Amino acid sequence: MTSLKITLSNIKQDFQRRVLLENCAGLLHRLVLLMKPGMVGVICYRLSHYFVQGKLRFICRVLLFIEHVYCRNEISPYAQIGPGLVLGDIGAIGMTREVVVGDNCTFQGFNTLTLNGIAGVDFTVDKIVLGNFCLLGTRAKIMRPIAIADGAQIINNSLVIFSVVKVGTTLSGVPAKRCRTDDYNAIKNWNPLMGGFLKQIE
Amino acid sequence: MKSQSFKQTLNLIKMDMLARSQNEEKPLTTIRVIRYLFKSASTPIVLYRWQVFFYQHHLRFIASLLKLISNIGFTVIIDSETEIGPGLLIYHSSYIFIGPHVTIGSNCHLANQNTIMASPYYHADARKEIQGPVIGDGLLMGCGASIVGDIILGDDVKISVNSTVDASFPDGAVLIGVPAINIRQSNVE
Repeated sequence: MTSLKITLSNIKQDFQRRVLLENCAGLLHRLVLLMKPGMVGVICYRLSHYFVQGKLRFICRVLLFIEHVYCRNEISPYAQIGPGLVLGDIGAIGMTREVVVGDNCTFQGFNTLTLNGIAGVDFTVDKIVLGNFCLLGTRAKIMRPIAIADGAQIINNSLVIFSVVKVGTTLSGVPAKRCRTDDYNAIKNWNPLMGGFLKQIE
Repeated sequence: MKSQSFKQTLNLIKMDMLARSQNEEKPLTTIRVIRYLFKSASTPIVLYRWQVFFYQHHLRFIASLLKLISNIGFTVIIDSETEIGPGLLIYHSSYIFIGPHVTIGSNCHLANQNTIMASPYYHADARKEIQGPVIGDGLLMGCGASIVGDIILGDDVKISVNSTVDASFPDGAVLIGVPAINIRQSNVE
């Protein structure tokens, strides 16, 4: 069970990562960043994940409504997502309760992570598991209970239906196939929201 | 880069309106301009033009607010550092994202769910400075099409729906697939 302290700590880490990616130096920029749908979506998810476990479920409902109207996202409060989450401002990100995501992952928008996409398949695993530092480009989708290794980069408009074992793999196509494998440490220092290597904030 | 003047901004908005009226095959009258100003597909373009004006005149907070209004109200996000030529036309304004460091020529036609940005994916040949796509005149994108990476596209390029372009292509290319291939070239061969 996630405590309030861990929830607030996660929100802080999410905000710090977003500030780093967008290179927000000034206070006004940080205030605008807090109003952006991507950041509001992350906060709504974190709080709804906290409130769904207790007796105050109606707050969770309100948060989900705000998330849906303002950010166009539908992330299940039962999904388990690590700190450093970055959601794109375009929104329209859907995740079901079977999703487990590692730390510092980025979803650019229009992503769907669900098990309901392909009917009539006998699943042996019942979760979608993403490692750390994964990146899903716009409209990239995962529609099977698969595990994806750390540092995976899924290119726009791809559909992933097979597990990825190698760290730092880039996937592309429908269904997605491996393009290349890159250095995981370099991927950690890469800016998955804007492109380019990460800079130190002044 | 020379900053965009007030007059140039108005001129660019006029050119955008003219492109829309030409697309509808109707003359550009004052009533039609007012109607376009309240159309969900034209308002984000007007907001973007003013956003660039304020950004280049060091009123970046106002530019950020205009970007936020465009994002929340019309789900169109165009960065202030993006250069788009006159005659920009959006068919359906929803879920369009154009990131920084992008250069697009004149008469660009966009549909819904388009993404144009510098490569968010790391690769071994990645340069230290960010290089966005450079696109010529007369771009036509289908809905759900994406352009990513340090690439150069020629004039009159057409991109099919749900395609992802991550390589350079010459003038008149017709692109389809993930990653996209040029079907016009293969037909000629």
